[in-house]
Amino acid sequence: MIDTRLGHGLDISKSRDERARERFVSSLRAHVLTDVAESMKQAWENDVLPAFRAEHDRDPANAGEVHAALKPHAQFRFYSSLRCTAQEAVWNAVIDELEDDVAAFNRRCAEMAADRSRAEGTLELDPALELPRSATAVDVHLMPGNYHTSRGGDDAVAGAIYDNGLNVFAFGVMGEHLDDIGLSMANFVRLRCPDLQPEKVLDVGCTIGHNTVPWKRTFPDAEVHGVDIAAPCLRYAHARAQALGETVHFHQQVAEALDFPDASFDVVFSSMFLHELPLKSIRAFLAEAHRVLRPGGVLINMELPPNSATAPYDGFYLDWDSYYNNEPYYKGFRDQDYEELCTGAGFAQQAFFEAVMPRYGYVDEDTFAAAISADAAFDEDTGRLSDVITWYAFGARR
Amino acid sequence: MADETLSREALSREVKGGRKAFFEDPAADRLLAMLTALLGEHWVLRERVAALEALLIESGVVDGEALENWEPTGDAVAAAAEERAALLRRVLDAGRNVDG
Repeated sequence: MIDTRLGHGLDISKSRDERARERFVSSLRAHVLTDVAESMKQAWENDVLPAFRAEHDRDPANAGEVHAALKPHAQFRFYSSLRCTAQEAVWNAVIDELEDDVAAFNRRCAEMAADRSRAEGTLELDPALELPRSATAVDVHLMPGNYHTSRGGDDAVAGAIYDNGLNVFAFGVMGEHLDDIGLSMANFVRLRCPDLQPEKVLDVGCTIGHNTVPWKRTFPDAEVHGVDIAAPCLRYAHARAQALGETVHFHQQVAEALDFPDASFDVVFSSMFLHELPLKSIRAFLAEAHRVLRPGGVLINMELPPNSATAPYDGFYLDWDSYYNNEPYYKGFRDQDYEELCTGAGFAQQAFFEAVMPRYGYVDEDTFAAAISADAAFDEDTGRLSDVITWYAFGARR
Repeated sequence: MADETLSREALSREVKGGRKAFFEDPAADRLLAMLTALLGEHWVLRERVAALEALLIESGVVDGEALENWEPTGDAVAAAAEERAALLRRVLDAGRNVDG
């Protein structure tokens, strides 16, 4: 059974009906992403692909051609409409719950942040910060109000919508505290770079800090920082980390111009972040990562695999979000050569790495260690949310 | 919890940038969303009925026949009407952001 509690001090009260509604939406998403997605793939293989071959005398060359050929098909329409519906249902279920008592939630969040009995994290907001237009133009992931919209005062509602929504969205496959990505990446660095004893770790585009906290858990002696542009998410992230008893420092900054000295971090990490940025911002962030990393430090970006590594159909399946889930930069990012992005930012070509790994929290240590010592092996489960998902990452040593 | 202790506040459900429609007539997208929401409400009800029946049987308070014959009276009539209205909003507003 899907657990509707988040398991930390910011849990909101959910009525019996609200809990049942969340469980329904989780099951709906799992159904759409497995059964309905499989029916669409069958339609592709049995119907649309043969027609494409007959017309062009070849297979489709890329994800875009698959998309164009499949788009008029009834099964594509049904999958897509139902997936948008499930996506909206995620947020609606959670907004219903939060609406019951917004002010009390924000008060509790502020109290949790102020309670320094379990941890001594900090929060640094910059009300004068100019938010990039690319980050505010549309409500990303169809999340009403997006990540940055603050309703004044100590408002942290966007963070609560995201945390509770992600829990519904993930249908139990992203870890107990929705932190398996951070946990997997931190342990990847621990096992793959035994010479590195990180003193300072930076998570950029951290939203609610769910993947920031696992770095503190994996490297308890390290000073861990998280950066985002969204004040309500950062307020929530700070309170959440405090509630979990982990000292993490959150800052409101833009990734393209980090306010940290040169050579001040041992790890710069991002997760599911680059694909939300226009190419210019990706390049600016990677150059900033290179600047703030110490020699020997690691840049690690957990991301969707590049289109060059996925079969045309799998590429289309991942790129769907770019067109229909308000993530306009997603495909543009996946079309890039990730190695070139890193070398373009100043990292040496031989320092580039990429990896595909199982979820750390779902396998034993030996299985994980064996998997990450192998070369990156892509398959249709890489980056595709399911109970057999594998995480993809790329980066470079400084 | 009594209602007067709550600070109920409407939160927006609108999506900036919209939500795409996929069928030739966007009404079909909207209807599919409504149907899905309705299915959700059906599930919510089934969970509640299952909980109720299990507790009733466990405690031996009522038997099946008493449940079958029960009808609302007094304040319960208005409460049920309010719940039905909320149910209708939840289901019929599900396709609100479909383009077109």
